[in-house]
Amino acid sequence: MDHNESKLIAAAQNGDSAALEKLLRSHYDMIFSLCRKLTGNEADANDATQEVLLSIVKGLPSFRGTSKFSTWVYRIATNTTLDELRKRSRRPLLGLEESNYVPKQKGSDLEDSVVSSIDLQAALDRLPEDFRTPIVLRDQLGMNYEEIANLLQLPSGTVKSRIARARSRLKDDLLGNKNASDFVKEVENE
Amino acid sequence: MNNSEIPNEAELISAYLDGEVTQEERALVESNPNLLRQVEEFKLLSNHVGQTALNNADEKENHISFAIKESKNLQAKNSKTSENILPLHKTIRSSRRRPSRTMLLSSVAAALLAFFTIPLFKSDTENGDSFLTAADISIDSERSEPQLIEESEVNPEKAEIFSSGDTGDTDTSVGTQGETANVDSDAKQREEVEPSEVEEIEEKTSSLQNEQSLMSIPSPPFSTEIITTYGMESTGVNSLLLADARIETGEGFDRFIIELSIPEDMNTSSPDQILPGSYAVQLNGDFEISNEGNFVLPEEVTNYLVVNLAAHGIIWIDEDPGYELTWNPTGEIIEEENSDLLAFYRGDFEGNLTFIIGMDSVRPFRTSLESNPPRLIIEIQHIE
Repeated sequence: MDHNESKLIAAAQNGDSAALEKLLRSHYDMIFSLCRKLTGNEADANDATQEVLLSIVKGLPSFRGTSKFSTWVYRIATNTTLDELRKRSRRPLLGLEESNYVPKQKGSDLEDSVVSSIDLQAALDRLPEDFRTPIVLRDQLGMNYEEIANLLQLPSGTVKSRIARARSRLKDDLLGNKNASDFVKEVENE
Repeated sequence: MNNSEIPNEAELISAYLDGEVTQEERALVESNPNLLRQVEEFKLLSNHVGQTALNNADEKENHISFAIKESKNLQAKNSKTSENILPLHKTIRSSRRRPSRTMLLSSVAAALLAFFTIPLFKSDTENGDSFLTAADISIDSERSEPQLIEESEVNPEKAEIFSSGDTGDTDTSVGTQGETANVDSDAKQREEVEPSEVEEIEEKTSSLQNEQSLMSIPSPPFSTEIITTYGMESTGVNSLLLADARIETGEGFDRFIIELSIPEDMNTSSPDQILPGSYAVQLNGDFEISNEGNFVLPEEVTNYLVVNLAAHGIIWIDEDPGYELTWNPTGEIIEEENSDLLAFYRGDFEGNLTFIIGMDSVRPFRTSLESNPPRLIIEIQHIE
């Protein structure tokens, strides 16, 4: 762990608000990004981010440095966000945003399409939560399949399959090969 | 490439990108230009998914300043709470299973004998250590609930989680539990003995160990602060089924026990390792989680704990009415003859059970988890 960060953590644990603020600022962007991608919309992401920061504040006294602070923070962020989604049962529904969704013209070049982060975020938001969560944990946090499987309490093979299918879906979506409801039908038919 | 091959091919490419393939699979991908081209496409996607999504500056400032404010509130509350928690020997009242006068005098005699004799046998050790050993022996003989300590000491899986915000990144709970039980027993002895006798013992104790005494053990972790494991390191399984909820009475505290069962379709070879999942206990917190009717607590309930636990109270079935309760309470109120507590089960909402434990005053509480069967235990301290 970074020496300066260790000092900040110790100071924050002893009630130093300035140290706590520095810690929260240094991890804020990644926390929000994770919440944004896991929840699939801005409003829930903001709620979840606030919950995550509060969980960190409450849990900080018990952090002992047995893992990297960033690992601990992102684990809290993931668990809090998933708990929030579970508690509220506000999983984004694919059908709701269909009216605003204009698929790319079929045959577009993937590189051109994916350059637009807005398009990609929208495509990611359209993925069902069961598929979005593993790919975000993999690509945003760099967790391996086993870690994701443990966190989500899924078999490792399922994680592997869902990440692959999520990527295929994103690719198809950005290229305009399929629309979101096709993917939902595929998932429902299984 | 036909369509039936696509899923496996996508999995292979995706796993290759993530470094989750065997050597044979790696060789297969690297020998196929078409697969390598698809790897590049997935890589492009992966890089973009991994990019950080930024929030707007105002929201960011609001979030951080709110968290800092909450932190300060927590600090203020914590210091206030620790000031307000009375020492156990003053707060615990044993109204049940009162030991006889003879037993008490025997206990005092045994304690005094142990205080004075064991140090003599251990003259090569420090006074404090000898005293603690002696005191532990004498108190163990009177301990009303030895099972608690023994279970915790021999089985780390049953280690109890007391502190708010415990993330599993701590291993102090077992020791604290033991200390608590010791203090608990000591308190029971004290309240039955004349104050002058207690003072006499304390004086002798003090002189023997140079100000080190059992009562100098840090305050037990009963508290009125919210306890939540939501969002923390996973301590257990969130998909267990509600099997029972009951109140049990104890010497210094009553227990509200939420017992769960392991679903038949859960593939586990070690039920001893299964603990309940996320939970939260809050004094006088919100409990209306849905708009289905207004629940009103009885008048005698002036304070209450709201317990939320990630578990299921219903299972979905094909027959009417489409669901089945995993536990049928015998009445609206969960109560126990010798306890003042009144508990209510508010149902399962999206895999989250809610209970309300009604009390006639603010009482410190603590929680613990046990396995086989998995259960969440909320211990609520008696107050004079």
